[in-house]
Amino acid sequence: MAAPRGSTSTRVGLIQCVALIAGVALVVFAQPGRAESSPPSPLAQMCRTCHAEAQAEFAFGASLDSLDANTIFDRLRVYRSRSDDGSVMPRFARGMSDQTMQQLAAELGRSAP
Amino acid sequence: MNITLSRRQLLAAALLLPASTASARKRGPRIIVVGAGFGGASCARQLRLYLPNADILLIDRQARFLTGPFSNGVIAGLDEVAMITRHTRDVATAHRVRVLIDEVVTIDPVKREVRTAQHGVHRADRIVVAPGVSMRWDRIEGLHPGNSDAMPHGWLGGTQVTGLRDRFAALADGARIVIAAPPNPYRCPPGPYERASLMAAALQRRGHRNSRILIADAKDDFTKRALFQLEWDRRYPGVIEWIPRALNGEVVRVDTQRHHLWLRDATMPIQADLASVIPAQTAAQLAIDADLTDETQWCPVHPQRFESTRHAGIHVIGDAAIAAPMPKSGFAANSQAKLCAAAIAADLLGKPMPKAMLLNTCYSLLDTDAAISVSGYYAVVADRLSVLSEGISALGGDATQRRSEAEQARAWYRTITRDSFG
Ligand SMILES: Cc1cc2nc3c(=O)[nH]c(=O)nc-3n(C[C@H](O)[C@H](O)[C@H](O)COP(=O)(O)OP(=O)(O)OC[C@H]3O[C@@H](n4cnc5c(N)ncnc54)[C@H](O)[C@@H]3O)c2cc1C
Repeated sequence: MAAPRGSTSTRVGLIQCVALIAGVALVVFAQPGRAESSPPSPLAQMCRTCHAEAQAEFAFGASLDSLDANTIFDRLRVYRSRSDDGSVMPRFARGMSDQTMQQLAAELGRSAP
Repeated sequence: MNITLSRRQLLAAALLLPASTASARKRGPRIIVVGAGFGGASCARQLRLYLPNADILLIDRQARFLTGPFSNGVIAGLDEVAMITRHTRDVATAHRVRVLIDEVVTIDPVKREVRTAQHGVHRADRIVVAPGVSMRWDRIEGLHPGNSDAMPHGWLGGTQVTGLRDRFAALADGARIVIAAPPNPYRCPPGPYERASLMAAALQRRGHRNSRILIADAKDDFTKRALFQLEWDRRYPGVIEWIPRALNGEVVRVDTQRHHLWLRDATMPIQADLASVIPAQTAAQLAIDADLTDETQWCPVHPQRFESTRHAGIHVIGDAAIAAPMPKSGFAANSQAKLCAAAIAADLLGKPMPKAMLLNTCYSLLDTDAAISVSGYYAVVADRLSVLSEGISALGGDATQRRSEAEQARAWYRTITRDSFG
């Protein structure tokens, strides 16, 4: 029986189905150097508490959604150079290495356009 | 034989192939989280994120609880109790984990079993223990759980918070309020001083000119002391008096019926119209009974993963854990939960351990529109948790800065409770 027009359903014999799954799996897992999507780092998750994603009404840190990694990295470096303790960010950033800032920025800026 | 699959299902099945064959061999890991406060609730949420197939069970004896943060505002009558009320079932629903409202009576850290009062024994691959603190009743003569309501600490949520609020609201001008501050370490280091500040703010609004607040301290110093004292002088001159331990400030004996408190070496008691006696603290009794504490009565952990140093596979986070130099705060518990969940997931999935870096900020309100704060950034260096950087509000901060920090404190409360409790 033909699948109804416009439906995404497909009737497949069991053997074809297994072959298809195995085929797709082979293609996906045989790709050299395929970057596995890495889980969020705990430190980035801590940042997201205040800089919550897509929860503008709850977030009080500046929204990071629109910032790319370079911008976040630059801002962290500016915070690190500030001597005043008027807000929490300079207090955190002062202890961060360039490497930590780069990793954080890459992760938090990921969703940027 | 024919089967019907959507293209999306086919692709998903193909992508999941190695995982599903692995999970056919072994069911998803079973993890029990004891305590649905800042530490436990946050950890349950992160575990679900890192381990979508895990069976996660969150257990707490309270169906409804009050948060510590902003409870001083409630006690002073400046905030509503509804603002700090959360429900454990809502937390579990938001974080997509199973929930049990029950008392955990024992944890067997070797067999990794949790026994609850009503629902028997539960076995787990990993147990996260986040039960908070218990009070020490052996330090102040005359004070015990049975009469503590007469001098409420209001430190564990519950009815003492509203009881203290009602007693405070009923005070007439000229009242003497005594806050007994505990020795280190204890939950929320700035808490007693924030309580004094907000009570003074409320008394000022009520037009009390003659009421006084005495902080009788078992310590010689406290966090943000210079800032607090400067602001007390500015805002509430002559209202708050602090007596350090060195000047015999420690409360050593009470008579709850007569409302009497004796300071060390004092021959005469202090008569209080309202006393809030915050006893010395230990890790929650459950952690002590489960052999998770050392001679300090707090739980030693490997800071890299917040796993007990005494029992493998058991993790302790939040106030119960020894995590100095981090303070015992809701923010710290939330940070530790995130690191702990990532470490458990990495271990179970055979992946590298996450980098152990942690954040904390403690805001303290001086009034509804003024606050100060202290923050720290921590990392594990040579297997020890160390401060990498820290900072505190400027001593010379003006009213605009204090107001801005009060706004940040309220916004922080909204975001941390949303993050922790959903
Ligand atoms: C007055 C005050 C003000 C505060 N202000 C702030 C602030 O501004 N900022 C901040 O970051 N922190 C603040 N805190 C500190 C904060 O409340 C605690 O640090 C935080 O709650 C610790 O989290 P936790 O998960 O370790 O413990 P809790 O949040 O106490 O959670 C422990 C849970 O374990 C459950 N439990 C314990 N034993 C058992 C058992 N045997 N069976 C079942 N369940 C059990 C309890 O019911 C409880 O729900 C404040 C605290 C107080 C008292």
